[in-house]
Amino acid sequence: MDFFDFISDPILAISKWLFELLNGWGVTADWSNFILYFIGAALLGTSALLLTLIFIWAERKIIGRLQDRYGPNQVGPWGIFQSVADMVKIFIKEHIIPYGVDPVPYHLAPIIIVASVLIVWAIIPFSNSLTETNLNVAVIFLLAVGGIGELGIMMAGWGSNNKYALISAFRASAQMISYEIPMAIVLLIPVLLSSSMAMDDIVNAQKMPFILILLFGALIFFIASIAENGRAPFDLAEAESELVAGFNIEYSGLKFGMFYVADFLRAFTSALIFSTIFLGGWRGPGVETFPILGGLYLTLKSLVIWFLGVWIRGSFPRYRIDQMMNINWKFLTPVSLALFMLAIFFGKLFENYGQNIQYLSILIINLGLFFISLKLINRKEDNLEIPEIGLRSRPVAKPDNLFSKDISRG
Amino acid sequence: MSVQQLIFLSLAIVTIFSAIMVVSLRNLLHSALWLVLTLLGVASLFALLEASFFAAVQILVYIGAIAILLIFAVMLTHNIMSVSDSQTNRGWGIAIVLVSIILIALISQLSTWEGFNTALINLNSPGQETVLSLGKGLVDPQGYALPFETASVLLLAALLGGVYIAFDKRIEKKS
Amino acid sequence: MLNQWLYIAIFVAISILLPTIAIFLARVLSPKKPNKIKNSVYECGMETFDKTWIQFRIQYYLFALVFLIFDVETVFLYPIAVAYNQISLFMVIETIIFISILFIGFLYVWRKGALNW
Repeated sequence: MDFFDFISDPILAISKWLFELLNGWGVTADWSNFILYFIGAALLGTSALLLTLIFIWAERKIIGRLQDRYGPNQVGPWGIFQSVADMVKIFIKEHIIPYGVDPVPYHLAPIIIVASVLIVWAIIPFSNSLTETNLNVAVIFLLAVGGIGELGIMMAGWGSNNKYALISAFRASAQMISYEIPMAIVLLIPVLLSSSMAMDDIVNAQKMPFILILLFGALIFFIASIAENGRAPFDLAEAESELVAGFNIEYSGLKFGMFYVADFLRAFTSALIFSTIFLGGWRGPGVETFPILGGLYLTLKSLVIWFLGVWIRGSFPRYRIDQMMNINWKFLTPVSLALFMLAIFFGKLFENYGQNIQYLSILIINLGLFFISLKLINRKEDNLEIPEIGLRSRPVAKPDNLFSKDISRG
Repeated sequence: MSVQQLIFLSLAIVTIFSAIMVVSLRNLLHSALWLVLTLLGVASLFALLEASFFAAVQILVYIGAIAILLIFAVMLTHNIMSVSDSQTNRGWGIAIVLVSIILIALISQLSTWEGFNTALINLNSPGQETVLSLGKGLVDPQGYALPFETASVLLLAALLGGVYIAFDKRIEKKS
Repeated sequence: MLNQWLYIAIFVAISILLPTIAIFLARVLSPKKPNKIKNSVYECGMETFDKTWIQFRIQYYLFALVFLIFDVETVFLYPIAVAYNQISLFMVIETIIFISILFIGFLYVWRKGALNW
């Protein structure tokens, strides 16, 4: 392998070299493939878990700045060793196991939750030469693995032998299963546009990134993935002020650390999925000659989306549980169903006029639905009834009476 | 014994063992967990047979929806841990004898089937062809379009029936 | 036998193994000093599970049920979306009929109030 090969795609070059080496030692092709898969998977899994430390630090700094304070800044320059110190602390804390826990669900739950986040890293194409597996049902696999995460939360809640943990686990899994429906329906449209459920094919079909065609769909997917992750403003399940730390109340030490790691890692993983499906994945200028640039582009795109998620986290107040369910079942689901129905109808009508007209029609449908739904929401807000308490009516803070002197009704 | 046979054997043993545990445990919630493991085993068997779509759908629908529904329903019931009747009823001896006879008859009949010696058709389709033909067949008027629409009516019936049974009318009148 | 699922199976095994090793390591490294007060369940008085004192709302079950129906519907829609480029307009209308039958059911459930928390 010459120098240019190595520079343009180091990972492929190294794996080819290892393959030759193992073949030279007499290992058959199947087994050497197996060993290569194993090494690749182990490296990817470990680096994903270790990257979480950097993300935790970055998120704390960004949220600190959003709240007009410094983030961690004592341990090392700019506080970059804060996560390491936290990790060491969590590793050596005592594992307090309360009485009466159900041992199997209690101990398995953190492992299952972290596993359900890590498994998603197996199907994401990091560059156009490095797909270990081009799973042909990758999109359904994504949704399926989310389901396993919900199961882990239920196990954590009920294994803890604690009423509050159980209630919180119910709420968290009701929230997570509800928000899977808009995700699943909106993901149908990229599958439609690229005629395949495999991630590699979806990335290959994005000569124009799908977000430029599916503006509203991408927004629905983004909101649903934040809610699925359980981050603010949808973080009712871990609301420290309400449900006393939620379903991970009886966990201490590294088991609690695992929930924490899964939360932060999942934020980045959903950013990765969003950039693969909607922003074009590893596509960018110059990836044909330098495939390693693909990984760089993917990282940059998902960092932007991840930053958006952190920004939203630091800016919005938390939703109540009924508001959260209303958003999903009374807004996101009907709108995504309507979007899909209109998109397939008009996409098929204009199919004969070429692909660009098809894309344009879907874009117009997206924008149209976006403005219609905005109008519907505004109309509903104007018609909100103000509940009467006793004989007085409560003033409701609506934008037009914020600056008026008399706080009269509405 | 090739690697594939070994993997199949271990997956089959895990699945059957979890299925036995589902029906024989006293604690309902533990049964639900073993059911999840059984469904995972079935999904892996589908994946081994290269029916990737069905493996993913099995995990998505069965584990992600039905198992969660089951766990919610189990939480609804009281006395999940204090079931203290015996696990067997009075006629368990005769039942074991009958079932063993049927099992031996089945095995002896099946062992003469020549299908076990024919090689599997290698589907060899890592692409989208299987899902593609499934999709085309579902909407084709000469295909399965009518069962497809009937399935939607069936789902509608399930939705309305479930809501009708589970929903408390007192709550509706109050609101 | 080089299956697509081989890599995923390896990755599943590794992603279950990594947290297990980490937790095991932490268990070895951490002190173990259980005493009665530390081990009592948070918010005392809730030890036994025989009497479920949780006011289990029917809403959880209803949401899971509606989710199940829509999940199965989405599973039907995925192969059709994959075959989108090769089906005619008539078949697309069939799909729209499929979705709208379930959409009408969803509207009924909405009106009935089963989707309120």
